[in-house]
Order: sequence, then C-alpha cells, then structure tokens
Amino acid sequence: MSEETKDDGLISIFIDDQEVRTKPGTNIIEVAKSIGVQIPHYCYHEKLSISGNCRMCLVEMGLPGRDRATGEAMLNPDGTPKIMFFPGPAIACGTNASPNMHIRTKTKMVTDAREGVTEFLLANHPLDCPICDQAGECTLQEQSAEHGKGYSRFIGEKNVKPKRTSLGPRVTLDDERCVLCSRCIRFCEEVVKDDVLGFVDRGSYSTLTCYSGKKLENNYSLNTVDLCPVGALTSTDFRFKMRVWFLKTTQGIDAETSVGCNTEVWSREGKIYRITPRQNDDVNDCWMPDSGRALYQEVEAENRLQTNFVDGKAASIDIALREASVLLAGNSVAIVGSGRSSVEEQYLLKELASAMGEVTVSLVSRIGEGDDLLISKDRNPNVRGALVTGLISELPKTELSDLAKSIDAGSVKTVLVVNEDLTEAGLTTEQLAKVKLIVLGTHQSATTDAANVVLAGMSVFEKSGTFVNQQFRLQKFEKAVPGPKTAMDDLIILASLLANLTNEKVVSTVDSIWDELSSKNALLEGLSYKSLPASGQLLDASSYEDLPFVEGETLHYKPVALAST
Amino acid sequence: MCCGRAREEDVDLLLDLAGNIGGRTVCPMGFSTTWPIQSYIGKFRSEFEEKAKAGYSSKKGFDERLIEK
Repeated sequence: MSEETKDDGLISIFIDDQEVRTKPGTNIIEVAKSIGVQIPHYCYHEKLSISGNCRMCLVEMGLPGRDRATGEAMLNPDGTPKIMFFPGPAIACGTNASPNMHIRTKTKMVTDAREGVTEFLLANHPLDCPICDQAGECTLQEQSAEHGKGYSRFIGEKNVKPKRTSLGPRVTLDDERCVLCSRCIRFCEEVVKDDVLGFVDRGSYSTLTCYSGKKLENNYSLNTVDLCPVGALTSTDFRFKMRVWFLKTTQGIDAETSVGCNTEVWSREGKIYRITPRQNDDVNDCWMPDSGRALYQEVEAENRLQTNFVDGKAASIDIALREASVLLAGNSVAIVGSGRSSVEEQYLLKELASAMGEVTVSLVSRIGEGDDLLISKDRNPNVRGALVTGLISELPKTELSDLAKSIDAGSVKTVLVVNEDLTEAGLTTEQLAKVKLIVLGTHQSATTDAANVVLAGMSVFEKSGTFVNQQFRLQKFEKAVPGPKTAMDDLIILASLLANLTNEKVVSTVDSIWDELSSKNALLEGLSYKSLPASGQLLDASSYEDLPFVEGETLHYKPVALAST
Repeated sequence: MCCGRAREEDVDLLLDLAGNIGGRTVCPMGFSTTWPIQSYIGKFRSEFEEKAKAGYSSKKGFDERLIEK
C-alpha cells in the first residue's frame, strides 16, 4: 500500500467515482463532506468516539482486488485496477480512508438501506413534528424527508414512553423521540468525564436514563441538548418558548471566563431566547458551559439600569454626560476599569486616562473555581485586552486596597468606575461617600446607589467589540439586541467624555477605533474588526509571558509555565 | 399471519423488512432471524400467500392457541 502514498502523505480515494486526496485514515463521512457529498448520520459526531449504531450512513464500499493465489493486483480488461465491492453496505462512520478505496453513496442498495433504516427509526417515533420543539433543526426531520419513503407502512400501535422526564436541573427528556444514537452518553463519558447517562431495556423499549442515584447536573449538561439529533433532549429553559426559524443568530463570546467560548446568540425582536456554542476547534470545539448560556438573563434582569441618574434623580444622557465631564475635569481622579469591557472600550478608557494626565487606573480581578474544560479561574473575559491596549501593565488584584488608601488619605477625590461594583472589590460605602463617583454600568449595585452620576451602558449582548482570551486570541462578538432605549453604547459614552475633556474630535465606533489601534499598537498591526476571522486571531503574547496569570490548564490551553514541562 | 390477521400484502412486507434488518441494522442477530424467513418465503411463498389471503375470513387451519378470542 505504501506505493500509493505520494510525497504529500495523501492517498486517493474515490467517492461516487470522484477522486479525493486525503490523509490515510480519515473518516469517510468527513472526506465526503469535504467534496460536498452529504452522508446522512445520527450517531456520528466529529468530536466524539465512533459508535456506529444508527446505521444511517450505510454506503457501498470497494477496494482494489488482489488475486488470492498470486497476491497480484487484479486488473480490468482496460488495465485499470479491478474494484471488488463488498456484497453488503458498510457504515461510513466506521470506515477510514485507505488507498484506492471506492465509495458509492447513490446506488440502489444505499438508498434502499437508508429507506429501511429510516422506517425502523420512525416506527416508534411520534410523527408530530408540528408540536415538537426540535422542528426546524431536527436531523431526523430533515433526513427522513430526504431519505425516507415518505409514507408509513407501520400499522401497529406505537410505543408510549414518558414525555417529560427530568434528567437534571436543566435538561428534560422526551423518551418517545429518542433514536438511541448515544451521542449524549458518549459526550458525558468522554468530554465531561461524568459518566451519568446510559440505556436500559432492550429493543423498542430501550430508554435513556441516568444511573441510579445520579443526575445530569454537570455544568456541561446542555451540550447534550445541542448534540441530540432529535427532539428528545430539550433545554428546560428554552423548550416551547420559540420556534427556531423565527430566531436570528449573531456571533457572540461567552463573557463569563477568560476561555472565551464562541457562541451563537439566538434572538427575535430585541429579545434573546437562547445561547448555543459555535464551533471553534482552537478554543471550545463544539461545547460551552451551562452557566454561560444563562448569561442572557442579565439583559432583562430586574436590577438593569434603565436610565441615567444625576445625584439620584433620573436625567437625560446629555445632562448626565455634562455632569460627568465637569467632575472629571477636576483634580485627583482615579479610574477603575473592567476586565469585562471590550478591547475598544479599554482603549478609549486608556485614552481618557492619558488625556487627564497622571491618573491611576486599576482593574478588579475576579477569581473563581476553574475546571479543566471550559471554565478558567479568571472570570474576567478580557484582562489580556487591558494589557494589550496598555490600560494596565500588571495583573489586577481582587481588592482595590491602594484605591481605598488613597480615598482615605484624601488624595483621590473623584472616581470613574466602568462596569464594576466597588463594594465587591473591598471598598466600604463610607469610602464611596467620601468621593465624587461616576459610574458607567449596566446593573444597579451598591456603587451605582452611591454614585453622583450614573451612565447606563450596554451589556455584552447589546454591543459589538472584541475580547482577548487566555490564549491571547483576539475574538469578536456582535451586537445581538438593541438594549434598553435610554441606555447608550459604552463606546459613545466614553468617547463623549473624552471629547468633552480634550475638545478634540475622537473616534467612537468599533471600526474607527480599530483604524487607530491597528496603526498605533504594534501587536494589533494590520488587524481590523471587519476582517477579523470568526475563529479569532492569535496575538503575539511573548512580552506577557512572565506575568503570573491565574488560569490552569483547560481545553486547548496550556499555561506557559506548564507548556514547557 | 398465524393468527389469521394478515393482509395480502404482508408477505412482501415481511420479506422487505427482513431484507432491511440483515446487515443493515446494528442487530447482532439480524442475519440469523431473517435468513429463515427469506428462505421460507422463497421456497413456500404460496403457503404464506394462502394464509394471508385467508385472513380474518376463515380461522380454519390456524393454530387455535394463537388465535385471539
């Protein structure tokens, strides 16, 4: 076989007589996908082990024949290798490419096999797509329309199974719809390493269930809902809330930790309904934590700031900005930035700080428990962005004790706070009362209560921008919903403050800020928001290697200290 | 069929389903259960058809123990 491998290490296989060059051992489903031939499947998933139990991906397979007596290659009369096709179909997902393999996906045997498999799958599956929550994104629905008979020969009574089994706090199972593909079982076992799901009973009575005494309650349980090709596993939060075809998706970033999982935000008419992972093989594969999916609830939280305040009274944005500018023009200002702000906001904040001269800028760090998958210890999504933009030069601390001391000593008289609650960072309400406080934020807190000026900003779902994650990967997120009508984009607020202070023209849009960033910042040279790929762009992190970052090892990330070992 | 509840088309249906099980499902006993059916119908098709045709109309000749009362 080695003679088939040419210099590039690739081999030729033939799918429907079309030659494809591929690495030896590549899965046939993936090879077919690369040339646009769809092989239907349920149980196969590129990030999970092969199970081969749905039998939907049956294809005809043949290999070059060899004479049994002499071992020589058998040839057709015209001199081409004679391909010996197997008498029965083979599963494509369990087949790896080998030299000169021939695959047929359109023959009668294959279509008959697919029809047969679909019929068996549908025998006990309720045919009530119009009331199923998965309708519109259901693999079974799509593939039975494409590969099924189109009618049912089943005249018996369908099995009745439980319709609303709660497998855990966030996942509800509709047993009747399950096609027993075992993706969810393999996911829990292989990716989360929390072996909790399994099948009980045989044949048509097979049922997905949790092992006794266990529940599907790990922080990745909702990924099983995404994996489920049918409407069996549903999100308790999202089920029956909205038809998926009414929703539009925008690209987002999970802002709960510095992993920066890529997400899709599903919204309709200014309201977010759910968040699902977006595949990025360098960051989060196809997964995201459950905690990140619940973040959209903060958009309409009860304590969301609906308007701007000056001295506790609601005020228009113009008045609030004017008041804030007057306060900032005074002396002894300190700035508290945020690791939750986007790179663009941090850049404007840094410009604001340098326009005011000698100003201390601090960030609040958030440390939490990390796991080794997609939750890192650093709960700020963009601390590295603050380093890259030059807002800070060393890592943030959990307690702002320096600021507290300066306030007590009277050397700081005004504090500009962006998206942080100072009482959580160790400052007392008495200390807050000693200074003039300007808060740009999204949610009401003890700090906004004590503030002289409150500027209502946008949450991460209501603005566009970029984050730099723990790998120093610059990733962008897009505005999904418009946000409260009295709130203003943080960039515009910061730009207005900067303009009032300097009396110069300033940039206030993401694109124009990137024009400046790419020309001023050597690390970001040549980059722009528009051209940033969806999978992100890795920045050169060599100058920050010595900083003691808190993150441990997670999926696709190894801290520099560990990488060498 | 043995209970006298079959339809005429059920002979072909039986054969078709048998063909879809052997080698095309993950059933470990697929071949061993379907081969007898396929060969019986191949060799004695007329007897199957006769029973199916008789259907409900006559219970004669059926195994009394299998007939639902």
